[in-house]
Amino acid sequence: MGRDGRAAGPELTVRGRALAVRYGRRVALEAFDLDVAPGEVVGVLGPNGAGKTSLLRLLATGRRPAAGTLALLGHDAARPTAALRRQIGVAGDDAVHADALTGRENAVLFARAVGLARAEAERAADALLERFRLAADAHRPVGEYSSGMRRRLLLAQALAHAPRLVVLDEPTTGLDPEGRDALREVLDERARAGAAIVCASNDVVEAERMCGRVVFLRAGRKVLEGAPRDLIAALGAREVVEVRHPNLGDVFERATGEALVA
Amino acid sequence: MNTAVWALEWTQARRRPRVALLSAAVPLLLVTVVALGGAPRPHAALVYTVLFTFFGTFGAAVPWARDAERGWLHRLVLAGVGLPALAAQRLLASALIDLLELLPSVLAIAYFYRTSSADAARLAVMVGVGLLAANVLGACVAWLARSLAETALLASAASLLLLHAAGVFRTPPPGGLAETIARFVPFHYLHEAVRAAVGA
Repeated sequence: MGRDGRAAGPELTVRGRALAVRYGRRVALEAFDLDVAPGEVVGVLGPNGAGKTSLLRLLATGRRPAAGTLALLGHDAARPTAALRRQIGVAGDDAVHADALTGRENAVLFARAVGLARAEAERAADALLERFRLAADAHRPVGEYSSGMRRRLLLAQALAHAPRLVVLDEPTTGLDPEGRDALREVLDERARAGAAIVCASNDVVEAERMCGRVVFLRAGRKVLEGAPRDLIAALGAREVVEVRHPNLGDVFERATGEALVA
Repeated sequence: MNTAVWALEWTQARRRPRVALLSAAVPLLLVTVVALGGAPRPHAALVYTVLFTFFGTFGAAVPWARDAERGWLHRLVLAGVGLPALAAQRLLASALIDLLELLPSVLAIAYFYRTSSADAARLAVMVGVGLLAANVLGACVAWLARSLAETALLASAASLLLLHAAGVFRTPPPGGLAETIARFVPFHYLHEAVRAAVGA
């Protein structure tokens, strides 16, 4: 790191070396390296307790590494500044909002908190609310929102200011198929515009669709990393035949013509 | 300067008219009962000072603790709102909102005790200063506490200790250490203004 906290090689959005996260004696993440370039979408996969959320907390600057070095957008993440945080869009696992405010007011609040002028914040918030199909409910208090709507609002807030690094924890949880489609589209656009995106997920199908690279974690350690296509090809199996019984999703699809789950 | 948190506090206050109404009505009722009940003026002044201090301390401590517990403050900080800016905007806004809610009580004191306009104006200003100090105290208490129950307990204990240090419950002997300490506690000046307003 330089004296001003800037790391060498600022071309990488995320550069982590030998990262560790510990909660008391419990090791949540150990000897973890991660590089993410601008425009990359990286999925972090693993079972519960594998260290996914701990890694995302580091990337969101919500926690400092117990060991190792982490540079975000060329800045030392161990000494995060408000200016660095304004370039990171975070949607954690809890959709916490100001419930007395409307969806639009919440979205504008966060866009203003990251430094956008009022008019610009309103434009950005309106555009994202439209994309996440919240425009019709934008003037209702968030306290009246369903959990899926709260989740969509959280994602809209995280992305409204076009952050250079996007950190998402289980982004598709609680989203309906249209919400998932909207999220995929927006993330794809943001990535093409140069944002680096890191998302943790348990949804392997979604991760395969969204991510250009996935990292598998187990017990706090990286066990595998690569492009989904390459990893699947390396499995050696030509095809997997899945046999399943009809389920309620099929009933819903027959009744409405829409898929209940993507 | 980014004033998103300031705007948030005011918008939230506007959206809760029932809370605002109760926050104004309950202290006003208490002031009216004490003033019309014929309580000795020094005792009445003590009640009003304690009322204003607790109003500010609890009114700040509980929301700070609740918002910290549910992760709201953390979210704002991670979004890039600096902690000093967050604290300053929130404390100033909530102290001003508290003052607006207590203004009917201040006016009632001035009316019931026929306070001069100079003393009434001084009372309004010192209630504002006292509320700001109480809000700061509430935020500190919430930061130290681990739960809402602990917050309430610490807020009561800290307020009462500081009110005692301010010489509200017992006038400190002149020239002593207690008097010097009292001068450093903002609630001392609040109590002086209340006493002047009620003629105690």
